[in-house]
Amino acid sequence: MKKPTTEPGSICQPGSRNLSQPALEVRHLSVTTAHGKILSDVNCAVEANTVFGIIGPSGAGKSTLLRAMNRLIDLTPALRVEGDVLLNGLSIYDRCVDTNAVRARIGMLFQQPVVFPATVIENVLFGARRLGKASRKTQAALAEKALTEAALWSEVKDRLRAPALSLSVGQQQRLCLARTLAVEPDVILMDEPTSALDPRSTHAIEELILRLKERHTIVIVTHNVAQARRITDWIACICVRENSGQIVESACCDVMLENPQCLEVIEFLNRGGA
Amino acid sequence: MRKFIDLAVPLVCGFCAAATCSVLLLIAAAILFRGVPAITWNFLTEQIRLVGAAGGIFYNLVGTLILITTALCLAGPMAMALSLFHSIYLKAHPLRGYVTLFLYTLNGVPSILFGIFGMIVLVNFLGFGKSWLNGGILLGAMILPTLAIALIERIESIPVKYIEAAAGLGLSRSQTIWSVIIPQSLSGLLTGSLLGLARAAGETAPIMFTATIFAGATIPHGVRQSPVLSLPYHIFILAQDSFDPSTGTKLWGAALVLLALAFGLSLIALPARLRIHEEANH
Repeated sequence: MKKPTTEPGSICQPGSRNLSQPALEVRHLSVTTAHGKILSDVNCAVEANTVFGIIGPSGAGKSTLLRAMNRLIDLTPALRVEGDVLLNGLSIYDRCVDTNAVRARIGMLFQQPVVFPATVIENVLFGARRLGKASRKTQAALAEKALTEAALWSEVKDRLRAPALSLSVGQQQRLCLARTLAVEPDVILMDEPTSALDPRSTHAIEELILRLKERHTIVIVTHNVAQARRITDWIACICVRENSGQIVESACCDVMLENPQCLEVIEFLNRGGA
Repeated sequence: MRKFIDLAVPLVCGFCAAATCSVLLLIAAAILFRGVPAITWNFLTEQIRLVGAAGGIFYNLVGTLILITTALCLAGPMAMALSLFHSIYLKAHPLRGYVTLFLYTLNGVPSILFGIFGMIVLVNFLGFGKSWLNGGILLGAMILPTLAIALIERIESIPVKYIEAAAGLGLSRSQTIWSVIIPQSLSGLLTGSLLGLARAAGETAPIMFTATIFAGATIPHGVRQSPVLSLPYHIFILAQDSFDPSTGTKLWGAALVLLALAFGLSLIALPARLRIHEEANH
């Protein structure tokens, strides 16, 4: 398991990690609505080929942070973003940046599987085909590769033309992951991807995440502390302070879960992460 | 007292429902009863003769189909573009309310005003004379709000998760529109088209001055001075002018064909509508 290179235990110091060039870096990010701030001065850096966990109580702004990381937040005009997010050292909020290209490089897996009312193969190639990443000749191979990477190929290879909605929920979530992988993103954001799944499917997704980090960088929001312990390398805990979400502690997985320093984190972990 | 109300409310509701259904059933029964004797192969395939007292309604049927097809071809893409503009591009814009107001106002414009407008602008000012295209344009304008409102309702009921999933893959807004929103709103287009066409097929006022004549027209070969025959105008003239019993039978026959056309359109689209609803409810 590759660990971030900073000293573990740099806690309660958001943004204190000073790495040469993280895969994804959030700098002084604040998200505001007409009613106030949702997130305030969030800083964190995600090393390449690691799993970065975001934990914290409900309503603290974990999903909002995730949506700000690939500019999906732009779809909600009522939200205003300040600060910056850097992908491989380059700002994704720069005016010259193509938002769609950013989202293709920073993929997203949602809490509930979102499959389109189409066949399995059409779902896998949904993004890749439209982004010009799959020609007629290569699309079959690309679909097989993505489905194999998502550990779904053996289950659906004979049902590629079947409606995707006929798959089980766990399979649908892996199908969504395959669809994201087919676009070949650098970073994959996951918003509680196993919360709607049974333990078996959850285990399958967790194994996948550990395998995927060899080639991708993963940021995962989870409520499940045990899951965070199993799969993450580094954890940031977001809690509400002064009416807005802030990263109150950020450390490598073991340090954060065994020896948390902030009171909010201790309380959160004592509640079992709920 | 409470028991009485509990009993009375469903009775009153049931009576209203039965009264509403019986109106449709009475109309259908009356038209069927009086129209069926007129329906023969010749009635459907011959053209009008002896001022409607003899012959059939072939070109009236063809003319009505030309008019509603033209209306649909013009209004369908317009309504789709308008509803996308309203629901996607004006999503958080104050202009959106005005577009909605415009649509509902256009929906409430009496059909005779469309006819007068068409006569002044299309027939006289643009010099088209009586033409099938005028009828198509005017009927298209009439069904546009119905179509657009049905489409807007459908687009706005598309779950946000689909749009977010497409955007999350890196698809642009136009790609999302083509790959998610339009396919998912086809049921709205179908519903709106049916409602609109059923109305357009029976409209007389917008076409009587602008697109249709009673007799003497066949298939149009151009645009200028190319009127068509139509079922509603045929029924209108026969009902108004004729006291001949044989013409009366032809009148009911034509009414039955018009009713069958409207029902037929619904039946043709029913399997597609059911399939789309099934997919949407998954």
